[in-house]
Amino acid sequence: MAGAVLAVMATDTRLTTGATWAALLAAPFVADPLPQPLGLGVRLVGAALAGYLLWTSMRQAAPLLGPLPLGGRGEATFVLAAAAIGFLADAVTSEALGPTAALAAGGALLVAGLDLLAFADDGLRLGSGALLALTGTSLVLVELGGTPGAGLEAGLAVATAAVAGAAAWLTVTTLGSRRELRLGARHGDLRDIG
Amino acid sequence: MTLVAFLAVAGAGAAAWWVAGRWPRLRTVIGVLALVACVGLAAAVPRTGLIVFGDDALQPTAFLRLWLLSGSISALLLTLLAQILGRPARVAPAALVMLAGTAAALSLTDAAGALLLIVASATLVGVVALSDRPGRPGPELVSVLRLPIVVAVLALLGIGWATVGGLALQPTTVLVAFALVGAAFVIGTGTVPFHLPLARQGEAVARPLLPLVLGWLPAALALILIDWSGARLVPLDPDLGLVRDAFLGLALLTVGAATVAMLLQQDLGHVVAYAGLQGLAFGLLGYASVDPAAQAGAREALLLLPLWLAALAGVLLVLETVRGDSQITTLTGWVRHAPVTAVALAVTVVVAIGLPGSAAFEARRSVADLALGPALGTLALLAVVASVAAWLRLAWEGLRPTGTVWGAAERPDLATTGDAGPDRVRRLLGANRIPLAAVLVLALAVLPLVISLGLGHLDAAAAGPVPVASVRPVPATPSPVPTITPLPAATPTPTPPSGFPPTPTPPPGGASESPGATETAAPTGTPVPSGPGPTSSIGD
Repeated sequence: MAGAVLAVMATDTRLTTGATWAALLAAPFVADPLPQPLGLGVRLVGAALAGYLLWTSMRQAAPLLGPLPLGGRGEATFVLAAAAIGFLADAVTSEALGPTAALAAGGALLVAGLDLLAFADDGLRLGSGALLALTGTSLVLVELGGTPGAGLEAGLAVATAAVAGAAAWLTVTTLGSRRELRLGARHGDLRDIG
Repeated sequence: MTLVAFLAVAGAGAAAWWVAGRWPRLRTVIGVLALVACVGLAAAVPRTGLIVFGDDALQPTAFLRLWLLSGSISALLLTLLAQILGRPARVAPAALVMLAGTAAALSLTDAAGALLLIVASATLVGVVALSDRPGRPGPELVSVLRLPIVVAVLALLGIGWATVGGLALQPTTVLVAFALVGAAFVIGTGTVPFHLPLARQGEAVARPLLPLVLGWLPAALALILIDWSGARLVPLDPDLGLVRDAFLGLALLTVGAATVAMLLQQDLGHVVAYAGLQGLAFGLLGYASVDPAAQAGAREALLLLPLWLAALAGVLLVLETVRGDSQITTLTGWVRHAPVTAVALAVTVVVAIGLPGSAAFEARRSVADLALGPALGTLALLAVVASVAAWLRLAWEGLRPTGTVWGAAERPDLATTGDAGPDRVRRLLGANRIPLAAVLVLALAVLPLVISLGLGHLDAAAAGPVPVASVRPVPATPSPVPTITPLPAATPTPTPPSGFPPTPTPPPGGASESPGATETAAPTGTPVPSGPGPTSSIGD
């Protein structure tokens, strides 16, 4: 949850990358019981690779990013609200199979991810948002269905690495053509998912 | 383990292509050799068996084998075609990534994991396809990230939601899960009015990559979601009411709108793209029908779709290379000068629209009839048949006489080049690249035709078992007492993936009768027999 809040508040590329990486590495452990060693290992390798790709892509970028439309704090408020709703929903749900933290953390990451994915104007934040959204959804799945199997963990690991690779490529491409991280396109929103 | 070898070769081939970035010829050789190896390995993939991966598994099926074999051959032909026409456009690595991703996804027993593998493939193919695109990054680059993630989030939430309540799903739960996964289906397969993101990607990529972006990857996504629906929703026979009708309406709208667009468009590339979107709409009909027979028909149509789309893309490539333009009005006289390409187009249109009695036509007919009913189903089929007018318009333009020399730039004067040896051979090949390309396009067109006529037993493969059908059921209240007594520890047995069908009813007392039986108690309390065919394992 701290990673999600930091990712939407940060205007520093290193902080954004670090917060995303921390969230990716911590998420597999939000399950009770923990996933099988094979699935857990594959997932951690995918998360480590994703963080590495993001980190190397933004090394040549300027350290500062522009703020998000609501300034960062507004977005963080939404993220914290999603976490609170997740805690409350878990408390009143009798069907959930996962730990209490799963829905709260999942909701926070999902809101942070979709927020970045919809409103960010640079490859790094878009990638960060995509990764947080995927990870948040996986935590919601933990809440709904219990500890994920090796197949889901492997799928998450491959998707995480692939999305991070795409974000890294987008960042490098943008830096190469515009000498800055901003894509220069108009702000997207949820009506224009393409 | 042939499937694992296929995955390794496809993945390693794509990686090797990327590493050999400084040597274009080496890249070409690597790409073609990897695809040739994929063809061989796909032919050897067994129709049954299990490769255990932790508590899940990869399960080869006859459908997967046909998908991989036809896909590998078609991708190889497309790669050679693009190479001959001087427009390699990274077809080989994108095709290898697609083959690896769909091979893993269509054999994985976990629907959510399979969906994520398709998302990963779509993202990587997008990167490969757009990474050599010159100029400033545009919205299509952003869509490489946004589109797959939105689809994944919606579909995963739906799949996860369907586990709430375990086997005894509430009607509202089923409806929400069906709506979420259906929304992912609509966006991921470019259903009208959500066709812009996918269409924008199709517009941005090079022509040879069109069948990957609009064919194989969305079709694989559709297959995963249809299989999940068949495994999770069909047994419940749910009443989905207006939500189901809304999806059926969108599918029918897409079929009709695609026909209108095909008739109005002047650019042949757009006509091909809309033909692809029309084919994908039949997948949505299969999903929304929640009917096993309709879903089998949809699986047949979705296997054939990328194959005929690749052939149409081949025709487009040849005509574009010769004319330097894909506007239909500029293609006057093409049939007279490229008769083999014209035959290829005719064969492809026959497969795409279908002759009554062929697998392609019967598949679409059964999907439309079962999903929409006889009246609206006939309307959908008539809309598809009406789209033949777009191809007749192209043929009519091609039959008209032209005053200009067609493809003159493609024919260097060999008489004035007196040298011999490899250079002359290379020049000869270069001078005849259009006829060679036309033969490859004809091969691309014949492939779906022979499958449609019965080679490979597509109908039986599509109606066969699907790996996702073994998705793990989650009981509402986990029972602390398993209903099956585990085997003694003295006889170690590999832990098979849980929930493979069919699950036999245990005798009272729970002990397995046969000493050779490998039933064990799953962590969820569900009995799990070993799967069909030989079993091997990865890790665990």
